[in-house]
Amino acid sequence: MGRETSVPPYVELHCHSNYSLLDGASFPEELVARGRELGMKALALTDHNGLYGAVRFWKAAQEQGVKPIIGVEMEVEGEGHLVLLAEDKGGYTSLCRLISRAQLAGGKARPILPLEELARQRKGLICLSGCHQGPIARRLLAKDGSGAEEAAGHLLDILGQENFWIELSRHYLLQDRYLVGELVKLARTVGLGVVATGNVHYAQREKHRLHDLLTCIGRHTSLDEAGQLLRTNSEYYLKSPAQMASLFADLPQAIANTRLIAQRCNVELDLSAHRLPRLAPPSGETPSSLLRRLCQEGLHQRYHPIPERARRQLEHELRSIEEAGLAGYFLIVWDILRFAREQGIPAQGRGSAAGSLVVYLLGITRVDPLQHNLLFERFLSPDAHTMPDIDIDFGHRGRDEVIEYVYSKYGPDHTAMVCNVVTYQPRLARREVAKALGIPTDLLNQWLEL
Amino acid sequence: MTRLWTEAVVIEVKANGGGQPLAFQWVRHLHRVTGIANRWRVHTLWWREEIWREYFKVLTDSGLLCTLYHDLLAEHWYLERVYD
Repeated sequence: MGRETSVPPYVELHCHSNYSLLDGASFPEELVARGRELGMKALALTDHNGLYGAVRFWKAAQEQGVKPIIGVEMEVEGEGHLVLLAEDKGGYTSLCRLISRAQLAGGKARPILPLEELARQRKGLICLSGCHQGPIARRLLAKDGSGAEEAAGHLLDILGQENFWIELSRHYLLQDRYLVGELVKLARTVGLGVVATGNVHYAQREKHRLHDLLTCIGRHTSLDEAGQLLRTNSEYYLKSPAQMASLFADLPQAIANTRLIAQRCNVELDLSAHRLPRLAPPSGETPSSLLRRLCQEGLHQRYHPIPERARRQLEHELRSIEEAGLAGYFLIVWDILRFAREQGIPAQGRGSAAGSLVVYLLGITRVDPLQHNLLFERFLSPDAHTMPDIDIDFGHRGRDEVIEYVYSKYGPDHTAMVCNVVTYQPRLARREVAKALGIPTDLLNQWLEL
Repeated sequence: MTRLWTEAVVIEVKANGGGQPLAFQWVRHLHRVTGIANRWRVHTLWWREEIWREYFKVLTDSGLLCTLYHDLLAEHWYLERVYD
């Protein structure tokens, strides 16, 4: 017998990385590496309300020969947590849309998904009933059996039997025995399948300390004061298929169903494709013809007489832009800059875009790339499969006005502020950890000065 | 009513490979475990004096219902509570 057949068919379908901010304690890469070490053929990433870690996770999984499953644990209005897994490309689209809806519906840093949105956008999704904070588990824990059954029935109506599963977790908690027993009974009554998960928050047991610290940092408290905010034990690590099979020895179907679900989830992320918003040109024009016309106007404004070199370079750049399907992108940038200048807001393009004659002729930059022998290919090369970017600086006072214009012209559902994931630098990390450990401020300051 | 020892009593336990108690010695009697009513783990206070314990609420052939725990750091077993 080879190792292949001796590994139980367990796939972890509920797993948080540190992109579940101040909750997950391991990087996506660590989770993938650990999953591989444990013999898992596939692994899901299901961070809270976002796909921030999905691309890192997907790349790491591809590199390490583990099948990536992309998912999210969503906060659903009035219901609590639900795990949503993307079955296919349509499912990934659904996830992205639902996250956007939740961000728009919730307050700052508190996205919340209205249940009717899930009903509208459920294509390609597989839903697990979630952790203790899920709609069914939390009702059962509150001894509201009929409420739990009603919630399960409602979600079953929305999602269908094949796409909704009752999630079972065992973390050696006092209530495990009761809860898992009740969930299994309910699944039988309602006619749903059960699936085991580890609700993983860190790759290895040792990281439970970091998880405790993150909880304290997130809740602005210390380890001594945190009390029930901390988890009871260190069981939220990525367990091996053998450990999970042993934990669910009485419910082998819950283990087998993890593989069944994993086999259904097949999402390929195409990281080379771009989908840009469209600028609607005046009737009778295409983005390319409009861009050509604007460049010709710019050519006549800026050169007297027009050198042959400029005509050749313009034609070369326009062809490259058209071939890359980027005419619309240049027009959007031109439109935003035009608006800013009409409002008297100082605006200026900078960076490698200055190497482009098209950008110069559109008035985005003010430096003649021909006069300074700047290289267009540094900005946009047919060989590089990356999206060019044009950085623009706006005068501080008019910046908000420009942002409002972009939102109103292109729509809030097509516009977003670029998001930064802020990470701790060593000094701040030390300060936050020391606070969580309850180290007095004066001692902490002395320590940080060392 | 239950008897809870603030200082749990050290006991000798025979356990299986999965860490479950099979029998234990207490007040000069061997009590065989006939059923496990619940099992849970506590792992906390690592920043002070770390506690890592596995608890078992067990029934015995002598008619006891009691709570034992295995100190996973010190590798000792304790009897914490006996239910009257």
